[in-house]
Amino acid sequence: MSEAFPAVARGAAATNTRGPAATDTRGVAAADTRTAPLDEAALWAARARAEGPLMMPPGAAAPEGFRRLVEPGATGAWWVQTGPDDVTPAALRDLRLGLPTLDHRNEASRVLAVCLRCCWVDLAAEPWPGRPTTVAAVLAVLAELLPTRSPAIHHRFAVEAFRQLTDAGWLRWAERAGTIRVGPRVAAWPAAEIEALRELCRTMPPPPAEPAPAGDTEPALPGNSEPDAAAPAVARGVASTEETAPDADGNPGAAGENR
Amino acid sequence: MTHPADDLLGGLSERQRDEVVAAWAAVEYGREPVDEVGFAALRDPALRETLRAVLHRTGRDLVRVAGRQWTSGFADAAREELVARGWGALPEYDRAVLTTILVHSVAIPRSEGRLTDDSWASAVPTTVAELRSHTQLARGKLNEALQRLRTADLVRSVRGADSAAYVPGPQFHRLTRAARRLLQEELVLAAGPGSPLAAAIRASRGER
Repeated sequence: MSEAFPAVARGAAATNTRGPAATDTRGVAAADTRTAPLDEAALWAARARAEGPLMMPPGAAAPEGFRRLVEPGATGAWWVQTGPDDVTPAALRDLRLGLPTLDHRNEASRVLAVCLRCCWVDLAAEPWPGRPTTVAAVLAVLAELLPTRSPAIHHRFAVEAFRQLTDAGWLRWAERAGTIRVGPRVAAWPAAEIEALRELCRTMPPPPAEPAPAGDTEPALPGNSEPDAAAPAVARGVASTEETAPDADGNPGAAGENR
Repeated sequence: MTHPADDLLGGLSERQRDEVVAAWAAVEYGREPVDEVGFAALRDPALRETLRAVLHRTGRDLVRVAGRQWTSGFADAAREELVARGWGALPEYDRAVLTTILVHSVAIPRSEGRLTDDSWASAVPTTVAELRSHTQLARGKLNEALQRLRTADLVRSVRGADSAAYVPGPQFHRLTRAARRLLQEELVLAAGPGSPLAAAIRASRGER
């Protein structure tokens, strides 16, 4: 049975590998469709639909239907897909249609909000690209928001959310380094929503003070006192869940120390 | 922001344009197929063709699911090109897990006459226990793959008797007729390579 998988997978519409199946399908599909020739913009759009935001060389011009976001340091540029008339999935609410599901949606929303709070330190600017933060800082803010929940549970939900949100392009999680940045899709939020998120960020506890990673300017965050209790608690939580996430260890004891 | 379909939308009245964009958002962003009752651009044949043309500009197509239900999916030309370039493919073991679910929930029931239509909706769940016995994946890997497939709406979890169980998810509504047939043929070739049906498929492909 198992040796049959690759053959099936190649033929599956949404899932495939490079291979002879691509030529096999040509005649089959051409028989009963009215396909216009595929131009460059349509091809890139289809790829972005399948893969999410695309990381491209910094100099390449994006086709119509994309917003181009140059990475800090100009190492590359994200191409983020936009809808006609800039319609976003937020329209689903007005159309009274079901929103995309996530396992533990509330947890994922909370983790995204906390990551935004930690990365978007200059609220006068746009949320993207923001500055990198650490898993430890995110866990410390989560612990302040829900002080009764055990660090181990915080950690488990956070890691699941990091994974989901990274897969969807909302976050970028460098698992080994234990750092988090906002993902390119954040740049596609409409202005009205960004305003609402600004207000939300103002009401959330700040991340513990830590030296910004090299190359970033130190943000001027008023009243940014170190919640001393958070670091050891986080460290305990990470240590106790190491068997579930062997390499998601964000150097937990380091919140507030020099890296 | 420019969009590849701006010229098509520019030829419409403001109200028509709003209708087409609303229907575009419903079929492109919605998880499940939508009923045309709520969308003028799906009910009206002329506007529907405009919507289809707008979707084509980004390699997408309008897909009729049943009666008056609509969704969108990759246009066949775009799908072939993505396959040829290896773009947008799932990780291999996610494909293996998904294939196992398709074999158990669709191919086998269909071969036994328990599923008759051409859709991928299935009432026959594949349990996690079955997945474990048929895939050589570590438990953690299997759970991660299932989570990714769930998030992508490629599988849907249903309450099993005692363990979690899965059926194909709403993404399968997005397959065009050609893609559905191709997937069906591949499943036959995988599940029963010696069957007369498989021989017929191979013959029809060889004859082209």
